[in-house]
Amino acid sequence: MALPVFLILAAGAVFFAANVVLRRNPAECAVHLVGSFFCLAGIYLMIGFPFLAALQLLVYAGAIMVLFLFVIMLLDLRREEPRENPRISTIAPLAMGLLFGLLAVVLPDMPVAVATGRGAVAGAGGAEGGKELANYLFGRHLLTFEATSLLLLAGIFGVVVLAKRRTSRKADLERLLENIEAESRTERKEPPLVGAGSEGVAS
Amino acid sequence: MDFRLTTTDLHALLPLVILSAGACLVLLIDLFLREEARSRVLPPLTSLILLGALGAGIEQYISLSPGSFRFPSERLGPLLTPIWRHQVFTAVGAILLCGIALAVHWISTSWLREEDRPAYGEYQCLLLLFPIGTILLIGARNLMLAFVGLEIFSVALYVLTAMRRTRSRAVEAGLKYFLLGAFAAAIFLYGSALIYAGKGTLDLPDLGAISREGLPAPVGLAALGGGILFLALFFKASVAPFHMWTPDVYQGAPTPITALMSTGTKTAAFFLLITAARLFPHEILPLIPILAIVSILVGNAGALRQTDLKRLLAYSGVAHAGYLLVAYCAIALGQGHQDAHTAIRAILYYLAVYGITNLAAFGVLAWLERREESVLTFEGIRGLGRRNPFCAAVLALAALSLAGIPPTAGFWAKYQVFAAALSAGQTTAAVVGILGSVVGLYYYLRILVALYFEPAPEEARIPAAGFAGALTLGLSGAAILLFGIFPSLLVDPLIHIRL
Repeated sequence: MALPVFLILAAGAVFFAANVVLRRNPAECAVHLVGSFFCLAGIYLMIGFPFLAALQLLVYAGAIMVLFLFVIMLLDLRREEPRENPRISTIAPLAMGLLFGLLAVVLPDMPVAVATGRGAVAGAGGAEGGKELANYLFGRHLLTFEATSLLLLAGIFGVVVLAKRRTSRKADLERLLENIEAESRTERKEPPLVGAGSEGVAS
Repeated sequence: MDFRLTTTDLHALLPLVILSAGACLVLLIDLFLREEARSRVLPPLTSLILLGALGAGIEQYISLSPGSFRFPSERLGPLLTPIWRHQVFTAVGAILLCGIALAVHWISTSWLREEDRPAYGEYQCLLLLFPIGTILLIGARNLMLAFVGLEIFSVALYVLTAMRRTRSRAVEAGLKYFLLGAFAAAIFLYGSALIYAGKGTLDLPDLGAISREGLPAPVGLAALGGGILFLALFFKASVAPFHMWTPDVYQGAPTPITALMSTGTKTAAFFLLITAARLFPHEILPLIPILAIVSILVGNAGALRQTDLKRLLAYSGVAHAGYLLVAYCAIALGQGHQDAHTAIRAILYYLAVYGITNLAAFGVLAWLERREESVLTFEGIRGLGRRNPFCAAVLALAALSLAGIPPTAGFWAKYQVFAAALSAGQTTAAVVGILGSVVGLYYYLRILVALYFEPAPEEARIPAAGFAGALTLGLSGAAILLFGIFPSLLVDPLIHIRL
């Protein structure tokens, strides 16, 4: 009984995750991400972590996704032109497909410790799950938890630094384009991605 | 569960506390200052914070060395014991990385002043975040904490690389580094997940266990995960064939940041390679000497053809990762306590010397490059020996040390690495390493020839360096000579590294 349900949920998670990357419209990507979160929550539920499943839905599918959607709506996104890069678009998927195909063959034969109860948070199921999880997070991993706040600071700060307009975005872009032109005059080199500075990071 | 932090815990985390409080302070003060005041207030403040963290690291080192007065006792409380490594090993890492960050900060002060709109606050806050991430990575006893540390310093580096948004090269380098780095981080996580699935724990085994029990074979999922995890680490250490990003990113990043990347990232990656040595799958251990040989060949062959000095140093960095891996073979494949012990010390010595040397080399490049935005080629350093004897002397010393020629520290670093590999029976890797460094002589000596035996171009103008930049160059040049003539100055402190 458990196996088919797991397979459906796992396939769903992979399908939605792939769509997050493949879709061109950012809003669609976000909605697919919600789908992937739901499937993951289902898997947590199956392996006996109801509390974690609830958190996954409340925090990720709820709060964080709303934030994502807000940001996407607030950004002024233009329709993206389909880009052609034949070399990457054939080799990379093939390589990844091979890798994951190999993993799919190898993985099922291997013993899994978590399912047999040797995992560190194996006791986090049931009604007491919240307490166990909190002990784990704020006890053993207190330092990791605090370090995460620095990581978030670095991330947010980095985005602000890269996306901030010191002059105006137009002036910045113009200078970037000038520099690129000047460079391609001096040396014969393929010009790098244009406009990746402010806009690429902001989105 | 006991949630109290003890005084020892705070003592163990002191460098981190100073750095993180300092980073937030710089960020806040930056808000309230006017443009002119920033250049006067923020650089000295950052120096002070980094010096404080460096001092804390040295103090930790002293109190952890055997025979010292221990206050009150150096045992961590229940909260930190499972997750933090309060050992000389960590203290050495903290000293190295705070020193690197301080040197990079000093190199970049005069360089920043020449920018259009120097972003002091942003730059320095990110510069302070870098050692935080790397020290977390080094001290972690748990892969989860190590990952958070890895991400902190990587994010800081991505942003620092791409900070000059109007330069196409910087944007290109930032984007490339970010995409590949994010991919490597995902691989690291995937490997950790598999290790957890296989072993039920993310703890990194004790350093001592490496030498007591040798490398036991992780089996099944954990072995697979370990292999995948090491891919990510090899990427960070720019070991061939995972080095593809190195030349482009080194070339595009601002020169002081390139110095930070080449020294700091490599140091952190090798520290984690040492602590994670027991996670490496047994079946593919023979791959390590092969990777070392490939790195040495690819790095040296690539460097031969370069005319751009930053790209040349990037390829030389790949070769040096190869030399470090030669010593790493002794940990991974050597038998017993003595081999691992010698090899770990050799690697740490090499990292320290390579850090000093590369900081000197990139410091000179940052000095010469500035403003003029042109790529720095052999053309740019022609006749520098007459135009600016100080700069030329430091660069010449750095080149000699990278090549491994006797009166410099680089010679002893290479000697120790190859000796460690030979005593562990890794003859092939050591011989290829020695041959590789002979090939390397060619391009390092080319630098010397350009410096002293070629006429200077007419219109060449050398910008004036600030005091801090000149001090850093002078200190690192002196250190290269000092540790070359008295290697025991640097060897002795490493003896206390307990296994």
